[in-house]
Amino acid sequence: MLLDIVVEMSAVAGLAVTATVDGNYSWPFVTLNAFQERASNARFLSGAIYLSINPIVNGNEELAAWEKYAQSDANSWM
Amino acid sequence: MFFPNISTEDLAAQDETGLNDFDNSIYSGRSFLTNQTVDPLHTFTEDGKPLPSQSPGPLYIPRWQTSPVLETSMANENLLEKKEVADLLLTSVESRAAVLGGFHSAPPGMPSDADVTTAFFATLESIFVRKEVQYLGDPMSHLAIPIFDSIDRQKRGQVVAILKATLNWQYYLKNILPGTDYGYHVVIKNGCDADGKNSFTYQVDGPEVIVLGFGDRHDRKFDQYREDGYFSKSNIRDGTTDGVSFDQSSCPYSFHVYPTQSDYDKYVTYFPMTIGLCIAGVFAFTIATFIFYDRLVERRQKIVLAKATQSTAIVSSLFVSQTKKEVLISHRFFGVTHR
Repeated sequence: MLLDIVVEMSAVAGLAVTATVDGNYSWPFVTLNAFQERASNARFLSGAIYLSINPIVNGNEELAAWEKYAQSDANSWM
Repeated sequence: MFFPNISTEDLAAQDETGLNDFDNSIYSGRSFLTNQTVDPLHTFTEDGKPLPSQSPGPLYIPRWQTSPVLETSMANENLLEKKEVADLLLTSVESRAAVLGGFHSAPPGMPSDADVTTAFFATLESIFVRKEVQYLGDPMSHLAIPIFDSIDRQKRGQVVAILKATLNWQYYLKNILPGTDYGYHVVIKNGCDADGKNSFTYQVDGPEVIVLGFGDRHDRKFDQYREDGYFSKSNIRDGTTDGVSFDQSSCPYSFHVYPTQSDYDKYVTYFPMTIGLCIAGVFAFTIATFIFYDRLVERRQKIVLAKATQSTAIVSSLFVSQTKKEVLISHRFFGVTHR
């Protein structure tokens, strides 16, 4: 009776790959193009009610740079 | 650094479709530390009060892009300070695999609920189904999928980010049965939460799902009819050749399906016995009718035979042979037979 939930999760996993191959980024300073359209589709296919991309910030120097990035035009996705 | 094109389905687009109406504006308003679009790295107390990040580092995992976008100050919240997901994210980074966490739930309530987690889940569900709905207190699970800086088949690169998905199990059980098939208990169990909080029971009635509550609440009468399900795959397809590894060791899940009394009553009825008795009755009636008819015919035959024997005896005693023959023939002519 239960669906193959792992298969449904594929849509979300595919989004993670998109984040890798979409361009030559310098993580964690990355904001994906058209994330809402892609994520909405992945949510619809996977049944997930919420998705978030959470970059890993390593070290206090990188954190300072990250804080600058977060306050820049990069936050225009909101 | 990479700057995105402005999305056409961001907060403003959600506003146009009315989806943001579900957002808890009271909580959203007091969720910000500053008046900037994005707060500095921060965290929240259990009652939703924002605080500057208390983490000494060196590792931080700020929440960045989300879908849907909420008016609440979610961006740049350090998820490593959020106890429900911190271990999950670290496990995913260390194991370089997709990891499913334990149950995360809150008291039932509407998007306007005073409980921050309840309001958050109710808002997400309302946006998901595009109408305001109550969050029923059922558990969510978080799935963390690592994002690598390279997807080379031989060697995936470094884990640079985590994609986190929040799953509501209820939606995986909805709309999988036709309306005529009802009355199943589904118990979802995980191996990482404390006893009493590591299983949850749903009732599946056709396309609808009823939330029954924490614990294994199936009817013990139907233990023997249990059907089990597990995640049998060790990787999740993601469009690459090998997919991403799916590590279940930290929190294995199992799914158990049981029939219920209503399902039992649907199939175990007096109907087959009634039909059987009706058919047996028809046979019995037919046999009785046959026996009755046979008796009637036999009785008639005996009477005829007795009469014929009597007639033969009378004729034999009165006439000579030739005359007897003629009398008997004339007797036959009137339809009387004898042996």
